[in-house]
Amino acid sequence: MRVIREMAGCGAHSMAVDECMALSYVGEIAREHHVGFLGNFHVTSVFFEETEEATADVERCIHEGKLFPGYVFGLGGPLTQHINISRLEGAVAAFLTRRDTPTGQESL
Amino acid sequence: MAKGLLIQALRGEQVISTPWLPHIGTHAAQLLGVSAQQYLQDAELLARGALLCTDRYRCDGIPLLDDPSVEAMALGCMPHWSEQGPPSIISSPLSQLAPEEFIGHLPPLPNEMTGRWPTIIAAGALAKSELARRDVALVGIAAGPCTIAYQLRGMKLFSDLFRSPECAAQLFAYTGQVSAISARIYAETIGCDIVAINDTPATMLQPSYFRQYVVPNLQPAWQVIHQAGKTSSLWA
Repeated sequence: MRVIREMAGCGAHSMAVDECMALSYVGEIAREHHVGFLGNFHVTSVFFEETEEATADVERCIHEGKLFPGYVFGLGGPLTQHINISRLEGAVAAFLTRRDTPTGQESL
Repeated sequence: MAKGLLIQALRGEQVISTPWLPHIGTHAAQLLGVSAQQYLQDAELLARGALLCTDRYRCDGIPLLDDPSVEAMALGCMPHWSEQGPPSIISSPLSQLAPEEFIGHLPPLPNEMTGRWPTIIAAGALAKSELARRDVALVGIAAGPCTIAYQLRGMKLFSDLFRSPECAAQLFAYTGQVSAISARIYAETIGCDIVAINDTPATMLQPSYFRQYVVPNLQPAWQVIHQAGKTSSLWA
């Protein structure tokens, strides 16, 4: 996404990014512009293709996102088809047990 | 749940616990056991879906509706409905016109009575107090200027940008007004705590085009949202 800096500086309080972006890069830009940022759990690989495990991607999001102020955990895209609900519940459970974890201890 | 924490974070502040806001799409239809087509056109199902997702996934904010075709349909575009996702726009009153012609045929600006807005407003009225009781933010998602321009012009939008930049500029100014009307309905009429502008097609533009066509035409929406004291977000 070549317009991430333009998004950060467009006048909104925050921005949400898709699953292709590196969350740590987005966090740096968000911090520079004093805006919040939201993202970017890998919806495609975890819910649609089922090739990636939810917990590992939750840990990635929290680890990279919490390094910066204004991070909100979110999905990297909308849920636009029927999914295995237990996988989503697993992702949410993994997030809820880690949301208060200090940075760097997400997988403990 | 923690609406205040979510709003603080979305405003760029450091918060003690990471909040969460799902981009829920039409997942609520799956939970409710109905088609996306039914769910997206029924106020009670939309409200029940928002509450169901909130309780099940313990999120701090929930979109009332996550469908980028609302604005285009209010402008006379034709949808093709789907069982599992939001509808696709398959035709538009402007898609076959030459650039110099379509500017004279822009549809009337929508309002609270146009297209699916009465259903969405009714859904908001049903969901808002229940979400407030749970301390969960109600989120409105409006289509952005590039999304609406793309739905009105189709692939011709990209040749308009190269070959007819003045017409493209007028189109984006118009679609920016449409986004701002949606933002006003979400922020003022429904009373959403957070209003997001979803403009995924805009991220395919070069940065210079994004600055020229998109950024100025997002400002009317931000102005409406911020004047209402609500929190804004740009989604891509």
